[in-house]
Amino acid sequence: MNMSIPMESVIALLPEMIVATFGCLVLLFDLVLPRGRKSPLAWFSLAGVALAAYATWRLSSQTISVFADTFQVDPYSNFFKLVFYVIVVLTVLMSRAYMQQDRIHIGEFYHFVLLVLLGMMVMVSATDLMTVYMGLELVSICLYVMAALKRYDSRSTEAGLKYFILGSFSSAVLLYGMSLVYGVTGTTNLAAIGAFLSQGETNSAATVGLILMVVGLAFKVAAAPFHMWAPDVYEGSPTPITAFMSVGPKAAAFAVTLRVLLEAFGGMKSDWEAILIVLAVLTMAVGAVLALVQTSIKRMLAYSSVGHAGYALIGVVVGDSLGTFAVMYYLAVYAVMNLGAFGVLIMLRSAGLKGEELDDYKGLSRTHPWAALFMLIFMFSLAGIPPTAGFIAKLYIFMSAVNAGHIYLAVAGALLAAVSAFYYIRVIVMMYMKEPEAQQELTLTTGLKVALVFSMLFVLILGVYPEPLANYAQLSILQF
Amino acid sequence: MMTSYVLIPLLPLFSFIVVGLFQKWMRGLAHLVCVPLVFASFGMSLLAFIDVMRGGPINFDLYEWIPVGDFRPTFGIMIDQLTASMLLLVTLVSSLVHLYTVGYMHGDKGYDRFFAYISLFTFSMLALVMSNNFLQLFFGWEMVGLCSYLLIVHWYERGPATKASLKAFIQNRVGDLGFALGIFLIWVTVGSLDYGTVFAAIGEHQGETVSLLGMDVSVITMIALLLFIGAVGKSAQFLLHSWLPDAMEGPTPISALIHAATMVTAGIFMVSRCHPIFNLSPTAMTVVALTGGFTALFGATIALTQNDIKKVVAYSTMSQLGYMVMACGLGAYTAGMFHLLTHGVFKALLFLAAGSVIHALSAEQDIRRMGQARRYMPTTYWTMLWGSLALSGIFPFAGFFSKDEILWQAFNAGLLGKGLWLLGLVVAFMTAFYTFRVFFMVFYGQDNMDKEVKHHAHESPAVITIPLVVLAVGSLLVGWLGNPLFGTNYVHRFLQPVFHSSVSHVPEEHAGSLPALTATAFAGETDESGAAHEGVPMEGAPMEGAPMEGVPMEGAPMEGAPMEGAPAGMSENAGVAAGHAMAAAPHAAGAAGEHAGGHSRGLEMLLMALSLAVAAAGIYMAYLWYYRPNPAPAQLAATYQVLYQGSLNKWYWDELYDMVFVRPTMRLAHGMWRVADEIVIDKVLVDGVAITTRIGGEILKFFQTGRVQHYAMVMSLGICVIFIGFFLL
Repeated sequence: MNMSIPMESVIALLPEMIVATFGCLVLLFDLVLPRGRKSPLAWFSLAGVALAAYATWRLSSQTISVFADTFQVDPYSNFFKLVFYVIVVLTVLMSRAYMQQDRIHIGEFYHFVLLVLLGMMVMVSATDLMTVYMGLELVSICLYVMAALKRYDSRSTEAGLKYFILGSFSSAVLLYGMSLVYGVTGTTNLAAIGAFLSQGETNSAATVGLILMVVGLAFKVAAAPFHMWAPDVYEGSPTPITAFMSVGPKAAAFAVTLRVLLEAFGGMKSDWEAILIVLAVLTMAVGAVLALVQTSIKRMLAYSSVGHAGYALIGVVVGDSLGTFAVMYYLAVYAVMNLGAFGVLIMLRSAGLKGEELDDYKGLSRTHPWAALFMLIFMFSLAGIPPTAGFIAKLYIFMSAVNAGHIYLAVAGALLAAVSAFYYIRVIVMMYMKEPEAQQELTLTTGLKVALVFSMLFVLILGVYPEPLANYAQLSILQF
Repeated sequence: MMTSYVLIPLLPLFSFIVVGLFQKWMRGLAHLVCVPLVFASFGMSLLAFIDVMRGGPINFDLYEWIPVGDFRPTFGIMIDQLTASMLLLVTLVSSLVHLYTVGYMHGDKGYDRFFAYISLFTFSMLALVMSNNFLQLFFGWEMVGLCSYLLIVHWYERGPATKASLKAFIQNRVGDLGFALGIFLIWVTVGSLDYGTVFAAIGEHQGETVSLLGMDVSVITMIALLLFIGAVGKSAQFLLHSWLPDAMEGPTPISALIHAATMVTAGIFMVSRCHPIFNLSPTAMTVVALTGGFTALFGATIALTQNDIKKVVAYSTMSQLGYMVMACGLGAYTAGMFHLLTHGVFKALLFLAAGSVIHALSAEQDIRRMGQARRYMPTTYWTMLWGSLALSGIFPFAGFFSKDEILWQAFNAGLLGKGLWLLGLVVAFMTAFYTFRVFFMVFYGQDNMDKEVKHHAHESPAVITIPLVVLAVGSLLVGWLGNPLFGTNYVHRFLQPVFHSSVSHVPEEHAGSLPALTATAFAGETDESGAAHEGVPMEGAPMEGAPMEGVPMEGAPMEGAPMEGAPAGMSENAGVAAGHAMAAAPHAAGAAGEHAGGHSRGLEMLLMALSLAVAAAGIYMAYLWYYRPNPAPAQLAATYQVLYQGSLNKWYWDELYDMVFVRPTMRLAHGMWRVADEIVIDKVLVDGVAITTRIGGEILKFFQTGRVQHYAMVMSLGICVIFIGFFLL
């Protein structure tokens, strides 16, 4: 057996290797740096991401399959990787002040963020059930730890524990499904599974495997009724971590879902389509209805992120090139606008105020008009109101649904979007039409400012001129 | 060259944007932006005017706007003789009003806002007159309506101003609906909204009918009448007239600019612009003529008794607009346009002078509390005198020539015209009377001013008096352009091409060679072209039921003159236009015939003398009654109580509308609000949905216990349900 690793594999894997190296080095440097002087770590992490991004950019239009077809670099995975880089950069920029405020060990935070990034990159490039699972577990395990990073806070540890138990449960379900599929097809390679399933007659064992895998993936994207972990975990985790996990791992899970369903189970589309239609409507409804009755803005955003998963699921149901494109566009836009909204939450976190309750936002426009304006823009975008990117993203999703004949999905989505507009706009009402109550002080760092301004510009510019991102996403859709 | 034409409307738009956006920081300095720009616009209009005079009409498309299927609306600019004269009037009056505003509105807290809006208005009005298609015309039409609304309500904290603005807006909306329907019908009938295309093709649709409430109506008549409804609203003709006097609640510069000189004349402009359509429908023409004539009389009778100085001028505007509409209805478009131009000048003057009086007398508007004002304000006195003479139609002021032109055309236009001529004469008498009634009561008569007011009475500053003087000189001179007595009638000569031909439309790519292409065949030597048409009798005019069958070429005795003038290399486009012009010949010839009346110059002189005498009589009567305090008017009013009260109360038209339209609508609205909105929509639909969702949320929240085992159970149940659904159902 030839054990040498061909150069091609190294090149294809270069971004992942860079991220892994930097992730480990951060942990080492953390030991060297004295307490309270950890900011070089942030720059170091950002440098690592920038390097990886450069490597990905160089590979962006190529398709290379390595390691016995278990790992593939293609435009589709590169699109997601670039989105992840943006997410990680924004997260790192936003989090420093909050972490110091809440006395969270910041070195470990950067380490885990980079490891999750690595896991997500593996996920989107995986073309084999084994690599899919590896990436997924790397992400999940890191996230369990991250949720509990505020060790002295019982809510945070509770979140970590809950996430761990339920996550393991779902991983088990997913793994069971994979094993059944392997049992039927005799392979773990996605393309080979697809080829096997499309030639033979229907096999109920394969169907069971498919259902279990769908359930496992639905847990990862927090689709109802497998969403129940999300609000508790999101609420308990430190806000920057909530922000990160509500966008990054979710986008990665969607990327995997699309690839697995389309590449391996393309022949059984009618089966998974039926399940996903129910899940999509249920998810949108649960997200909208439950967010409505929340008094904590953090929990409200948690449910809103459940709801957004529902919209993205519509695109997965559609499953054609337009649907894939709509999902990719939606996830990219959702990531930035959601991070922006959480950024405002982080900004409001100060010694005297948690900035997590709705009432904390009363009269924000008087005390901090800029903060209120940013929040207003992100809320409008999340609600899908033009001229923001959120509107265009929803438009593409509904367009793909109508185009594929799923008009009822578009109608349901639009109606539930109207419901969800209520709680987004309620935040605006609080900010602009109420008198200030709490002492609102902003914790501002340069990084946070840069991140917020970037998100705001992203949301507004793509709201009126969506072509650049749309064109890029269109070039990067999955090729079969 | 093209840029300079485009800049004419864009400069005011630019000042609107700048002042509008940076209002907060202007702090009363908006005029530094607006005034120079609008004067620049005036200068460029002057250049455009000269270009048109030398080279014929200009017409090009700027760009295509929202093309949808066959519907390809464009933004374009057309400057023919008609537009060029409107351009001059609009930019001149606007410039002077801008200047005047600097003094008049000084210290007003909405000073900068006011400037922003008059700039916007100027842009809109220019966009309206410079359009080369109906859609853009409609755009300008709506925009001027909006600006009128915004400016009437300038002092928005005053109750009457807000009501007046709403009234103006709503009544205009009624007219605009008709106008819009007319445009729709043009689109349905012809399949284009471009002037050139429409006017060239409309002749082919003669005899086609549309079904209206089961009746078959000629499609052309229908279009013409619908368009005319728009004109009725915008030009405050009878039935949609009552907004104009109320609009005087706005600041005086606005009354002068919008509600006297420019916007209200848009209706006359539009009818003149669409003359190829109107000419084809005798019915519509009769309606137009009668409406105009009646409005002229109606407005004049009300103006006789009003006591608010601005109201008198406002009703006189209504009455004069009636004259112009009447002229259009008689096919005498040139005469109507001529009166529009002269009226624009002297009526703006009268309003500005009235404003100067009001300004000087501490916002007093009631003429019964004025008198002997000439002692305090000599410039205003003299300019107002000139304006009043012009309005009354006294030689040699502008009103004399233009009004007489209309009366002369009416006299020549068959039986209906004779009747309208008589009516016009009566109105002329009334006009002279009420104009000088105001004049004498303000500047002579008994000194009824409050002590306090008198103490502050003063001549207005130069920024106010300079526009007055310019306009006063204008109102003396402008009439001579259309002087029928000696030499040539320049107005006729200039406008003739418009009413002879429809403008050929040249797409943008040919714009370079415009002058050559569009050179309407008729821009050529038409001096005294009337002579060529000596023989065309006025009976050819539409209201006599012109012989429509005879439309084609042979029906038009226009031999030679036009076609020879055409350049040899005339493009197909221009050819079509020319051909069409021939099709419309009977009326074009009729229009030409206006001027052809030379054959009875003696009669014309006689009639002129008559109308002059009538006007002088009116002034004399006003002199007798109002120069010195005189009990005669009061006695007369007491004797004919019914007539006096009727006139004073505007013939109760407001009350009628209030009863028939306003109150039922309000009641209906109230009912809709209480029942449909508050109960059905708010309670049942909105609150219902909200409550249902909220309850749903509360129930679902119940499952979110926070216990891991429950969560895991729900997940397991979810998996089970999927399996059951999948394999058992």
